[in-house]
Amino acid sequence: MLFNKKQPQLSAEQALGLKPMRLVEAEMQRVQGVDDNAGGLLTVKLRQPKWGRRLFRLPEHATKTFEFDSIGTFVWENIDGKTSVEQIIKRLSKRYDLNLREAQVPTLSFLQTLIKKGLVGVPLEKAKKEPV
Amino acid sequence: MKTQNVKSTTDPRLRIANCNRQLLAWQGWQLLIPNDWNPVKVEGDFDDGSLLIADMHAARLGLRWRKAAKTADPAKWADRAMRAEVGKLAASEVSDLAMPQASAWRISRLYTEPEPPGRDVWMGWSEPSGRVMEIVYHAQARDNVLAGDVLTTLADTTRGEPLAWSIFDLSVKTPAKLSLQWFKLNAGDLSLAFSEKRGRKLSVVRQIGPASLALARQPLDGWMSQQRHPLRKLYRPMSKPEPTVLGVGGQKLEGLRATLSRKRRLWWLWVVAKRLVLLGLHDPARKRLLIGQSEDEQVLRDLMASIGWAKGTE
Repeated sequence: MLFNKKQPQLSAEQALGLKPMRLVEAEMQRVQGVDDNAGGLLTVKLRQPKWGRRLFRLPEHATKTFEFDSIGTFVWENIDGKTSVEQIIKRLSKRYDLNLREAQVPTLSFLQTLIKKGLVGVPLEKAKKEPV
Repeated sequence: MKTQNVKSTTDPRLRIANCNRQLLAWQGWQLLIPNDWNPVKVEGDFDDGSLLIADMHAARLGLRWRKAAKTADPAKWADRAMRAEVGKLAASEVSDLAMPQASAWRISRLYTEPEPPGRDVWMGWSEPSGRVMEIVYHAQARDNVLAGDVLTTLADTTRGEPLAWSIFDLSVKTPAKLSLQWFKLNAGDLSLAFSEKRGRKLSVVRQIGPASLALARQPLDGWMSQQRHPLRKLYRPMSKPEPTVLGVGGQKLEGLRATLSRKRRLWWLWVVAKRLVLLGLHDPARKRLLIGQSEDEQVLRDLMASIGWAKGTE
């Protein structure tokens, strides 16, 4: 779009080095499944949209619940702003005995979904300005 | 032209157990690659195809093969192909490479990038299958990965012989009459479909993992229902799935067997098989669900019995 900020293009190396962090303060409620594969429910308080504040007022305690499976819960629990994407993929691969490629594809896809939903963000380091 | 010798270990079990490696077997080719490397792009068939192998960061290995013309001169082909790949100047630095099974290769030439990062390129003409193969290795530093590690494990299968397949953690052996029709390599859900000539007698082998997550989502007969769902317009189930046992990799695996029958109103569709057999098995040792589908139950049982053969060589 015309007025959107241009998103920086990242190489694969840079993308794997990113350290995603949670943008919402919410606790994951574990849901026990078969063979200790626990999924989770994440309840997030809804924010008032800026543009529709006067037209559409949300109730004060409006929330939205996201349901995660066990792999999604594992990835969410590893998002702490200190663990890189590559580390999350390797931990997932070890935990569920998956091939690295089999762990990489769903992890990246899931992280993209979380970013689109506004649950997770990735800080990009600003380029240092060179002195004139 | 200089000649390099490639050391090799003859015992395949020692080769696989040497370090963290996995066996990649595709369209008759077999080679050992590090566990971190995985196929990211797979195209083609036995006579003409390509494979791109990468780790999490970058492409590592590119394989390209095609059927060689019977009357072509191997040396001229190698010269021409190497010039096209690395350029005329660099082609003068190419050397012959002595492969472990020298009799299997009519010609074997290697170009090593003198100032990496760059590409090491190998070209070979395989006698067993009559195919030519080009391998490009993306070297980040001066190492001996291509000549010393990858090429020592490269093997080919004679045309018309049974084929061994191994990709990610799905490995299966097929008889000579079956060729690969299609494949789906999704994370955690791998499918290979084989058929006889002209797409007849299709047999599908599907592996889903991890089994614990898959069974948490739905039970085994649910996965079998999902497998037969695309066939619902042509087939109807004959009866409820019944328990079955099949020996796979030296273990007895329990599962379910279901039979589908072609719908009566489609009696005129002679190209569609009258009956299909579905097998669903749970492999607790490998933590995988195995689902098979075929109109020939014996072929299907033989295919599924061979699943996991690559693991057995460790």
